[in-house]
Amino acid sequence: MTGLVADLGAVFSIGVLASGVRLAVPTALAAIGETISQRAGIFNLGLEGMMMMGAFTGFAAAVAADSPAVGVLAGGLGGAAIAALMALGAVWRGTNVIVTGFALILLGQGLANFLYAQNQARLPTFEPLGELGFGPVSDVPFLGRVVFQQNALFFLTLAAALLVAIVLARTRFGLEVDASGSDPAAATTKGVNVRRTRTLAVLSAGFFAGIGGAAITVGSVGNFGSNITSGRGFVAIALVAVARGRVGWALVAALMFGTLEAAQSRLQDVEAIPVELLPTLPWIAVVLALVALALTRRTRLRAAG
Amino acid sequence: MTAVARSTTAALLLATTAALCLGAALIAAAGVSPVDAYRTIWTGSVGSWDALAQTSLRVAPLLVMALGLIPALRAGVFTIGSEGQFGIGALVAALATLGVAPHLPPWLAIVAAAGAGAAGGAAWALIPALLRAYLGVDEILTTFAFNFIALSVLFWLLNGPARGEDQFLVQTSPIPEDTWLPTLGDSVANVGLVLLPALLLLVTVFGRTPSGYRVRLLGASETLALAARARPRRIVVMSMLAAGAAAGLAGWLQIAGLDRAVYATVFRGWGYLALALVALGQAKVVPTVVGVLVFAALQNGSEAMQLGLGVSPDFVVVVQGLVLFLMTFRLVGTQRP
Repeated sequence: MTGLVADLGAVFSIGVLASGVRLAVPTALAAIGETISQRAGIFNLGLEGMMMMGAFTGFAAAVAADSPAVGVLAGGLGGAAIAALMALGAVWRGTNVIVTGFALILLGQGLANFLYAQNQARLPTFEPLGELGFGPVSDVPFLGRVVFQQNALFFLTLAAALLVAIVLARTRFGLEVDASGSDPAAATTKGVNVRRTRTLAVLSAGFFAGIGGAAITVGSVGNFGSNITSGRGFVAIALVAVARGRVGWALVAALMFGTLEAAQSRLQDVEAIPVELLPTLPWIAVVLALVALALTRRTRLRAAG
Repeated sequence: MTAVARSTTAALLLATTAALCLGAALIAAAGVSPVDAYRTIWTGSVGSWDALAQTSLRVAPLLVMALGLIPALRAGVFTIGSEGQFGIGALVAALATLGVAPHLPPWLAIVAAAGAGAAGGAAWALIPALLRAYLGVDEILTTFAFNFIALSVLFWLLNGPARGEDQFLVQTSPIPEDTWLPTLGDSVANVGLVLLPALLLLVTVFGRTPSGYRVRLLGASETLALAARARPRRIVVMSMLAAGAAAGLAGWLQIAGLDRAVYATVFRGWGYLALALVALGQAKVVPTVVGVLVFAALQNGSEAMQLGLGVSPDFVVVVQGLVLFLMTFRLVGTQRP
């Protein structure tokens, strides 16, 4: 047992934590977006398609404009474009969110992969975003490596999480989002424009997911590849379900999952842990969280008589 | 055919036509003649007996999975777990084949493998089914979670205990040739196709029995169903297990009829596709069958298009996404959620 603890201590080194934070950025951005959409009452299954679209538009725009900043913005717009279809169907026409979401996964993935395959010759790779310079602060033990040797998108993620948390908790729009999610009929009678609120929520989800996709291509790889988001949109949905719609917890969950991902290659040496099963953790947590929720609901109903 | 089934089928064909027109613009923008592209898709999917036989290999697993989902969707149970159940069923079927093939006559090994695949798929559906029936835990998220758990469990097993000896790729050992599904004549189509009319008949007949009637009642209103002496928990569990068994059986068809071994690429999103087609077909048999035929043909044609014209097969994914998206607008207000 002490052997295992010592092994794990060696695995979660500062280097692993630093790359864990880097890996967490795209998932965290998508999770921030999904939080808004789910709190407004729209389960946004199409997140993966929106990330893929953002990964491609971000990459293509960064190449065309020779500017990572333009790329990140274009990534957000690409994600929002797919989200606009979600809003058109699920919000404006009341279509089935699961089937619409699945259709948009196919559409987003298919379009991004197709457009890249047909234009590959015109899209050279480039140097991804570099670390921001913080001078001597970057050399502070631990925090220096883990926090201050990251690129701009990490700080953008922190700022976005803070901003979204404040907007959801403290503004009129945030209240309208929660009202639309918990009881759309009552919200309507109180003068909330549920349709407008949900449209904005879904568009924001797509925008953040698109930036998350661009964070992969523009922020860390400098290239695009078929299905490059590799299921991060799905992981983000799981993290939001576990965080029960709270932005801060979604961010923490994304950081934890990113760290696990970064540790994966080193965990291979710890024999007690089958690394292939690490990706199941967020999903097992989702099931357990749902069971816990159902059990407390039952107890409450019983207590209420 | 009921009026709903007829109009849904018509809408599906209309949506496909519309999506192909939108796709034509996309393909023209990529510098390829849409006429050539669609001609290649046509000849590569249904244009010859060979192409049809190839397409039938894709139709079989997708249709088995889709038919298995019909009772659950009629009962208002929105299980999206076919994807994981398909992979688990394929793995269990392959391992069962490898285990029993040396000891049994080939036909018996084939039957045993089919049973094992179905049992594996049903087992993977059991926990979400019980959670939904007895604790009221939403089945959409749990079955979704179980798909990803299945994916990792499969990788883990394929990298370790289930990996075939001397295999360079991450895969099981190939199943012995005498446990492959016998082909029909000299085409690539195989006897697995006889399952399709049998399952079609089963689903159709079941829909007309008192039990099938109670399943639909539960989907419409729990109060009405209880008045008709339906047992909701039983219906939820049984319909989810049936969908799981069908997906597992589809996994076996994929292995015994086409793949010959389980690879890490066994998850192709067909479980989700089957669900989308049944949901959009309003859980009716005819539109579901037509949808499966159209999508399987597109899938098969996309490979011909890549080989012949160098157009990325992702093009067909775009068309499929468009068809599904356009079709969702017909469903408004008819279903949970």
